Amino acid sequence: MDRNKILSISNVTKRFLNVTALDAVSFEVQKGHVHGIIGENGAGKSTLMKILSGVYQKDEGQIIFDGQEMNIHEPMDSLKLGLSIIYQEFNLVNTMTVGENIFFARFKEIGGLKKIHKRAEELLRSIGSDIDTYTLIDDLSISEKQMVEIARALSFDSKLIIMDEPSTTLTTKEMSRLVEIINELREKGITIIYISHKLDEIYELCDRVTIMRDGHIIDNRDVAALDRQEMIAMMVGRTIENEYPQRPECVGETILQVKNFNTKKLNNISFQLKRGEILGLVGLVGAGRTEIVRALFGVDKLHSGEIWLNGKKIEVHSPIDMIRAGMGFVTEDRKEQGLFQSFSVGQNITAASMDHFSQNGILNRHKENKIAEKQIQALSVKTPSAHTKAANLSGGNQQKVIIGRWLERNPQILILDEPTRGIDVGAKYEIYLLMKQIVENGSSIIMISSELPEVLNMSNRVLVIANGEVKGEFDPLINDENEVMASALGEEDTR
Amino acid sequence: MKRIAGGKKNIRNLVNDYLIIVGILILVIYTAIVRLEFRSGENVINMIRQLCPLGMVALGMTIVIIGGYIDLSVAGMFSMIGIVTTSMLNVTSVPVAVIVGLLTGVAGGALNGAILNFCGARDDADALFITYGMSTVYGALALLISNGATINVPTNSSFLVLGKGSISAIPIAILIFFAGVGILQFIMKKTTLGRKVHLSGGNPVAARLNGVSISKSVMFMYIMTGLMTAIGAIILISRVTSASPVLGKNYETNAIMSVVIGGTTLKGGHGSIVNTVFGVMLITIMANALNMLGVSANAQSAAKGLILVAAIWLDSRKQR
Repeated sequence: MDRNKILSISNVTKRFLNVTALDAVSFEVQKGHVHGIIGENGAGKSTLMKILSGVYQKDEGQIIFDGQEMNIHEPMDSLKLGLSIIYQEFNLVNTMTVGENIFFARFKEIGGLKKIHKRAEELLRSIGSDIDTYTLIDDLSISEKQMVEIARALSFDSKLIIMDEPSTTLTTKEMSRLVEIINELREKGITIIYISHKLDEIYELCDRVTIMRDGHIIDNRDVAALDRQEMIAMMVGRTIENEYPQRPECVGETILQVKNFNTKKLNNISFQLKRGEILGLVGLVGAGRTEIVRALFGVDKLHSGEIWLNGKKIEVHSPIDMIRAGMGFVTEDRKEQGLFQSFSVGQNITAASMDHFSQNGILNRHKENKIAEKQIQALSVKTPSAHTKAANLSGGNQQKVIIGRWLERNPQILILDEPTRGIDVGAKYEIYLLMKQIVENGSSIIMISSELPEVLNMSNRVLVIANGEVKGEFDPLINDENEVMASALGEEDTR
Repeated sequence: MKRIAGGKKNIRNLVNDYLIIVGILILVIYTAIVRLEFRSGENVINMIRQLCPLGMVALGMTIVIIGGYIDLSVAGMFSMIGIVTTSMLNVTSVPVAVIVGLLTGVAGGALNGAILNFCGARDDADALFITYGMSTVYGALALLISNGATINVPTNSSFLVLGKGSISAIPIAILIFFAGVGILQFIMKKTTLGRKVHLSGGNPVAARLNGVSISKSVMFMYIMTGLMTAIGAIILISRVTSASPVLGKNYETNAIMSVVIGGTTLKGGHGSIVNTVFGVMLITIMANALNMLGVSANAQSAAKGLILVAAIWLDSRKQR
């Protein structure tokens, strides 16, 4: 047995009834490495992690952890062996304090509440966090919760920590903090398995990477010996020439003027949008980007401000007014605010266009089906039929359904809030192509995204939002990522 | 990931899902064997007549539940409408009294909807408490108007034809009921209004962002429930020829039970008027069977409460 291997997985297979989620998977993780696992949704990453943490039982194969064969039956077993996992959705009790969460269910072992808080504080300080251990989890930000999870993992003297897509909800600043912590842990000799589908993070953090697809291991490589195109090709199983289509260049005259928007969170927001333009809104999470488009779409009340569309001032009281004026809104939270999950794909597509298939308030099902079929074909939504439940589609296809819902109305202006969040690389490209098509057909797009490369590659113009204000306007052909980011972070963060 | 269950598990799930329906059917078959009068034509007609008032209330309740809300005020409203209508029958003509009765229901429902909108109630938990409070208000109004006494319908009034009359042996009440089923089924499945109620119940946040006015949906569904409750109460007082101020007691429980046993989910967004008809039939036949078997009213109430809890449990199980 190689002493340098902390984890070695050989021929692990897991089946759910007759679906094989993992098919004879084998790979090894070096001690003290940050080991990336990358793959599209459904590649088997999460199943593998759940086997390692004891949530699922493997059907076949062998796992050797730290020189011993691992035979575990529940999550507590793996923790005791020194393997902990930090899930995307944190495993914390919101109504308990930070200290209590770190030593959850181990109060007696540690010796009382006071000692718990003392030990918890030591752990948090060791990763450079200054969270008060008496704070309730409820009052923490997402990145602080992540710190608590990491501290808890350390409290078990973990030799291996698995992080499942830890960056999904972090801002850029919080992300760089996480990078520092991961590097510190690596120096202490703790091995990290880092699951992600963001290539940039793999390159920034990892020593070695395992690429998974459809329950198989496609390759294990040193990150340094693998280029971007190759990695994407292995992930999606085909070559994608470009991550982005060619930037659309069809900007025309001004169609929308937003004047002096003021709300609880916004301060004198003004901007213009031109026909055929993709306007990118950039900023940190909480900067007010979503609030701007919500106010524009009539979801949130404006304290003051004007909206001029095609040279005419329009009054907005609710989303209905904006839909009638020719606007569409694809929300960032697809599941909660966009999709009717338990409804059919067809009914989801037609939800905003009842006027297209009804007369005097009476629905025409035949027409409705035609509309649904038309959009399913136009956007090549992968669904068994228009009657399939929307919840059963993949993230990318759900997003297409929602975009199709608005395209049916042929909107003048389409708002896309984080349009590619949680979507596979391949599906992302399709969404970009769609955006290009939409503006080339004479509509305009307002795009919000936390992925800077995406905004800079797709937009004709970029506005930076910070603290509810427009901080600057950039031309992505001239200005680079660093300039935009510096502006988004505010002056105090630029050197 | 798709799950394909084995055959054995499927059968077990099926039995679990239809546990209550299977249980009630067993009870009915048992009663039909040991109590011959249960099967008599007279009793069947009797059950059909009994079914109509609850059926009407349950139809309205189906709409509110599909819309993602609930209406507990139907019990109090039912009593109030009964008292108002019988009082009017004693002082004015039959059509006027009936119209006043119906308008009372519409007004009660509109008030419920307006209060919910005013409070910004956006889920069934808010609706639960607000309509519970309103039930108390309507129930108390029934007591105030009647001074706590039962009011009789004038004898030989043409009003009695609604609950007691028949057209070629088919009770008029059941004709009204099925007319209601047809109209509401049409509204819910074939109109934009019905679709908006479904969307509001399925995901209110998304519905609003897609141009559905939740306030209007709420008004529509509570007014419909009020109207249906009024029709139910009028049919009942016509059959029993009097109205007590607690006429509507337990109607909310029985109506919700009918809706849920019919398979409409309390989560909102999905359900069917037609299924509720089956729910109402089962509940009515069960009550009749228990009466025939000599089970006391209190024991029946306990049984019904437990069945309601079981039905909700099964409903939440299906969601997973």
